Amino acid sequence: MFTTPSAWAISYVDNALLQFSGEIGLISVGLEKKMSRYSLGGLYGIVPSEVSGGRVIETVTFRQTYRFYEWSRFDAYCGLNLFHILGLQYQSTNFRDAPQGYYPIGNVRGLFNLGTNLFFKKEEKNSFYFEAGINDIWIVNYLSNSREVNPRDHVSMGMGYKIGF
Amino acid sequence: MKFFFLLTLFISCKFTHSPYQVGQQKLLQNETNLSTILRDQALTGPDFKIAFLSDTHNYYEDLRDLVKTVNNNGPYSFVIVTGDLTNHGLLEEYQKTKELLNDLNFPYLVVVGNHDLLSNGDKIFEKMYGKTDFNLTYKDIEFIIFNNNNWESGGVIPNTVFVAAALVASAAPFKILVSHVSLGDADRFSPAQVQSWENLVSVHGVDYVFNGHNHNPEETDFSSAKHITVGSPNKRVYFELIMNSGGLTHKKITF
Repeated sequence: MFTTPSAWAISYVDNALLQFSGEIGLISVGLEKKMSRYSLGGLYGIVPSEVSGGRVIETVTFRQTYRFYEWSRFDAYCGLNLFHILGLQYQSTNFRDAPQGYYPIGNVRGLFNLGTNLFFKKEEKNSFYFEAGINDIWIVNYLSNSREVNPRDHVSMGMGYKIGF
Repeated sequence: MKFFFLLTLFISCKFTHSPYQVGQQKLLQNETNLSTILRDQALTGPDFKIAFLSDTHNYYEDLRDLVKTVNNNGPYSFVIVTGDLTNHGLLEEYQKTKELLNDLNFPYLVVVGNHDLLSNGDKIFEKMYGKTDFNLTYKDIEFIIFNNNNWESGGVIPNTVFVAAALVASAAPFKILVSHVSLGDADRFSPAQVQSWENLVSVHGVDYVFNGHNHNPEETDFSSAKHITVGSPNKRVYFELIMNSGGLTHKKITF
């Protein structure tokens, strides 16, 4: 039986995340649960109109990572962020006056990434993380245009801070 | 050592806050290229050619080949791309296509396509290319270029008042309408709308109607005008509009 709300939260959540960039918002905040080497999380991100250059962009992200290597004060992981942009403007399947399904374009994007958590001390729960990723559109474009598309040109970087509970 | 390797790897990447962002750069490339075309028309003789490309989407390798072919087959006074430069209306797609089109040896004008308007594509087009409806009088030809992506634009599109006014105002002997979607598209336009376009074309003696949208090239008639569907680069085709002593003709080029 949990005695406090924080104890209840800690049993389900291991980290709080604050992320800068990485295709899911200028700033994103979220929570993460660790399961051995796997981590699952959710984030909400926003790009204000002043930064996006047009409309506000709000993103919800389902984050999953797998740590494939661990050193004493940092680790390496690969991951997949599945993200969705909120708002009818971004739903190609139901875009303005186009008939439903006219555009066979998914409303969820996938960002494949590689990253690392950096800990200042051994046994430290908080960490900085850095990750580099490429989204599904440019993977498809590379596979169909390998002579013309260089994946490196479409890799983007994200960085953030994790607070461990 | 490993730490510094990873740090260098990450620092070499760029920060993209969202693939759907519009970006800050205002290029208005159609406007710049219009000025170049008008400035240079005095350098061209009475015989000249204009190239029409279309629906480049993410056919980047085919577009590279197409740009090389157009450069080899020139000189062209200018090039018109009849829309759909992107698949999702994303900034990186616009930028990739622009990078390839900038290798053309001739100035080019871009017509907005339905895919270019998806997501924030309308805002990106506005910043990168400028207005979607404009006309150009080049020697004896009046080109009227307009957005007719009615489902994706919102508002009253196409702007028939603009097109009719440009046709009325033009004293050019040859008139050409350029849009992305075919004026006779039965899915998008009612029979009454198609009829009104047919009337406009015949009343004003429009010579050619050019469009993209359908990726297969086609040469038909629309009312009294010749109707050209340009076709996409993966069909390995583009069209030339040729002005010479014999008048105005066209040619399909395969590569």
